[in-house]
Amino acid sequence: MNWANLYGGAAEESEYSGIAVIVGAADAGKRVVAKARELADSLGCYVKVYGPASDWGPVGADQVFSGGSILKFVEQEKPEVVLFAPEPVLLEPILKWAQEKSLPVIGPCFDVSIDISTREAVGRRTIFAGAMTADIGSGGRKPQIFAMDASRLPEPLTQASRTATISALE
Amino acid sequence: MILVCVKPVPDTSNLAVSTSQNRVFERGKRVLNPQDERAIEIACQMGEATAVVVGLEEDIDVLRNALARGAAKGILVTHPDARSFDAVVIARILAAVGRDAQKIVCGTGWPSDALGQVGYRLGAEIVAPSGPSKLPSAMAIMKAMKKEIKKIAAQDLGVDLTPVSVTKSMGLA
Repeated sequence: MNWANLYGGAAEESEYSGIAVIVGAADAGKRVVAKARELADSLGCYVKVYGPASDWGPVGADQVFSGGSILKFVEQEKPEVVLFAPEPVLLEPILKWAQEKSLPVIGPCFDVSIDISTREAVGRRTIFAGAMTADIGSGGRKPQIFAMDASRLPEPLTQASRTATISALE
Repeated sequence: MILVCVKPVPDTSNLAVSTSQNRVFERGKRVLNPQDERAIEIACQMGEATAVVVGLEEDIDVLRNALARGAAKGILVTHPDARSFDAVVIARILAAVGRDAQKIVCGTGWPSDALGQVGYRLGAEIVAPSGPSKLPSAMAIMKAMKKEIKKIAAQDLGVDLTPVSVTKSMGLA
């Protein structure tokens, strides 16, 4: 029994699980999903993709959600980490929601790493017009949200036999 | 009020690189974000625009640049820790300043390094750069010195100024 939820309190940290990827364009999305797979393998959790129904299984998705809204997906699935490529169609809903929840969105990142013991994710991005790099985290707030510069992520390896379950959000 | 948000950014032509300290230093004052130049033009086309800068006292020069480019009035919101404010805090401050604005206009982020988050967080009208902006004339620069600038201390706005993102480390690229 989750007493915090029963009385309308904030979700406990243990209720956040999985790496979520919010996708728009397929090519950028595949690289980000593949990055999510790498992070999920180190944490031992699922990769949940929200976006147009497509073949995300071979690049690493465990679950695919479509329909509903980005907000509904994130609040229903409570991912520990959210990755997305910063396309304008995604930036607007994600950043508006993040502002309501007082959550930072770190990016654009060319890499993200996770400390397995603390489950704290850190995004690496450039600052000072590329002269420096900085590693930035969200100070323990969840979900931890990172905008990924997909052009700097490697081409995804695909496993044709890998499949993902597909669910429709209401 | 038509509010146009203007960001002071490092002058990339005036950075010093220290390999011994593994970092970059800004040698001069910050400058007006080039991505905001077009936002100022668009805002002025909409009507009498007020430019707002969140930063240090020295960023008043960035505000005067915005006034020289056509903004009718300026608001400078200052705080000694302004350089460490993240997009969440900046958006809170601008939302408080622009509470009564009919429209808020923001440029897209600083070239290459930024998402241009603040505008989206505010639900503002986002302006992407489209071609070079006009340089202000000498007359416009002189007139800007006489335009009204209101100064506000960020801590007087009644918003939470605690940054939510945490920088773990930095170094030369």
